[in-house]
Amino acid sequence: MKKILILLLILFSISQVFSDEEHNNKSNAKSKNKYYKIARSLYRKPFGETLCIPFIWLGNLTDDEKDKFDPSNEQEPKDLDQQRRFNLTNWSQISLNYFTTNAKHDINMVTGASQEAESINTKGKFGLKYQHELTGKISEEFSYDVKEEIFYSEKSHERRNSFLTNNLKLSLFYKQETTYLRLQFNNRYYNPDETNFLNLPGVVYNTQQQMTSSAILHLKQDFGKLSLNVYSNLRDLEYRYVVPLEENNDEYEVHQASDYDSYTDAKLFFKIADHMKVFGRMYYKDDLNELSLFDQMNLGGGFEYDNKIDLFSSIKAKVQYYNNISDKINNEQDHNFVTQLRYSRRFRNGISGFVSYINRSCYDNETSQIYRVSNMLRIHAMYSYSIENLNNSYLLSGIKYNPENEGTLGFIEQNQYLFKDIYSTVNIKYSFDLFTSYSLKIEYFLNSLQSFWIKNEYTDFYNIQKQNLIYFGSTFIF
Amino acid sequence: MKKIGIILILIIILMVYIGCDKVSNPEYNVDKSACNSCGACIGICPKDAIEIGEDGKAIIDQTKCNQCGKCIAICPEDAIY
Repeated sequence: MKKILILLLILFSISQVFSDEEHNNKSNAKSKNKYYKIARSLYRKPFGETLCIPFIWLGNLTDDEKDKFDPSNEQEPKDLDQQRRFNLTNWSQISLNYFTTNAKHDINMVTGASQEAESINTKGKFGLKYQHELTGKISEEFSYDVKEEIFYSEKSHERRNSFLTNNLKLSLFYKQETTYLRLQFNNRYYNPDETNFLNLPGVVYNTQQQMTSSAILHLKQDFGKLSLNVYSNLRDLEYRYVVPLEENNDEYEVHQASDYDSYTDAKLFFKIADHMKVFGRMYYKDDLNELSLFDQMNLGGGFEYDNKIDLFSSIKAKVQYYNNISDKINNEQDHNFVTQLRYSRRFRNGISGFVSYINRSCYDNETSQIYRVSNMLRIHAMYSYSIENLNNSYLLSGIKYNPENEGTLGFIEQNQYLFKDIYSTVNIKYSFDLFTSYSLKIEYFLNSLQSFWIKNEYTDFYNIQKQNLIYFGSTFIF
Repeated sequence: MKKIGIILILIIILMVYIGCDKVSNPEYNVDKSACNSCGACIGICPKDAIEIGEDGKAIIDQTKCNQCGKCIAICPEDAIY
């Protein structure tokens, strides 16, 4: 009864938020002609790299200009807009990393056993990462995207399973007013001679990843208030596993194996009001192997609320229920509830931030108990400031509270303009249970699209390994 | 201000909700609003349990995940919870 009351209270609070947003919409419409200061734009590139480009505009903006400089849209620099006339954009990054520390332990390449007592001499070992993305348009409707990543390391890398991997993504897009279609092929190749055998808990033999390929089809279709979203992914996993011979534990038999998986995710949305949709969802995972041990089916639905209140604030909410059917997942997780809230806000003094909360819970029919699966509260705040009339530096800080999965951490990052197109970025991240990392990056921008950088990163993975890496890299957009 | 107050109250209510018991098997998921599609988690997952989802963001196959937690440590955006 108490749980039901809490749920009702939550629903009531959400409805209060929505009614409050409607009121704010009206009051914000009155202040449209005020002065706006567009602080900066972070031009986020793929593979997790962030390229900071100075971007400032002060003055009385017209409505068209406000749309153009809406900070919630990721603005691309003008140079890049000009390049787009040729319907082709390249993004390229190459980095060389150098280990300045010894590994505390390494992994046996054949058995996967950890040799914790030994200190492996990895000091002075090198690694290389090359990333490239090519995007282009074939016609008004068709476009394509090619991503390539090569990674090589002389040393077993705490952040990689393999010494050499190649990751390729090929995508073809079709976009019309009401139709979106994506065909994608992914391939991840692990060099078989330089990939760790993994000793997984609960698995009697050690496995070694060889290659993963997947073919993806994604279709979105709008029918007015109704919209359909279908995603399908067919995967092929190639791997090897070793089985110790019974007579002699030092000898192993190596076997080659393949697994096939099929994923289908279909959603049907219905717009019931401005900014609000209800949806039904069916997710089906088909293990295409003989025993079909990993089949899974989710059936459910919920509602979404997404309201960009004005240039400075937005709110999103999502409540979802799904029924989980799978032999591999405990019965207590048959009935699942997901609640998501996100509120973001920008202020005119250069401060911006957001609060985000996600709750996952499940209900067990047999015990009539509600269990918590995971809770995550995230708060980020950012202060952008000017140096020498360039609004190009920021101080970013955030916390993530995730008690169930040891994901609680805090971080602080400062990006600072130094002099003559040189920037520094300092990042400190402290995780209570997993690691602490410190990094310093000095970056020299040839122009807004090309840069060279040097970075030092020290990470202490608690009770596993401490590693210090120096990176030399360059980023080019052309 | 009223709006922020309501959100804070909502968060407090949900925190009270944490009072429920934890599920016996942990489950990892991806915060899609934070994921930047870098694919680092896919590369580190020893069970090939992470794949690219419909919106280009990572999704975790719960039937294959063995809760090793490597993806949490590697994610540059701390998007896994």
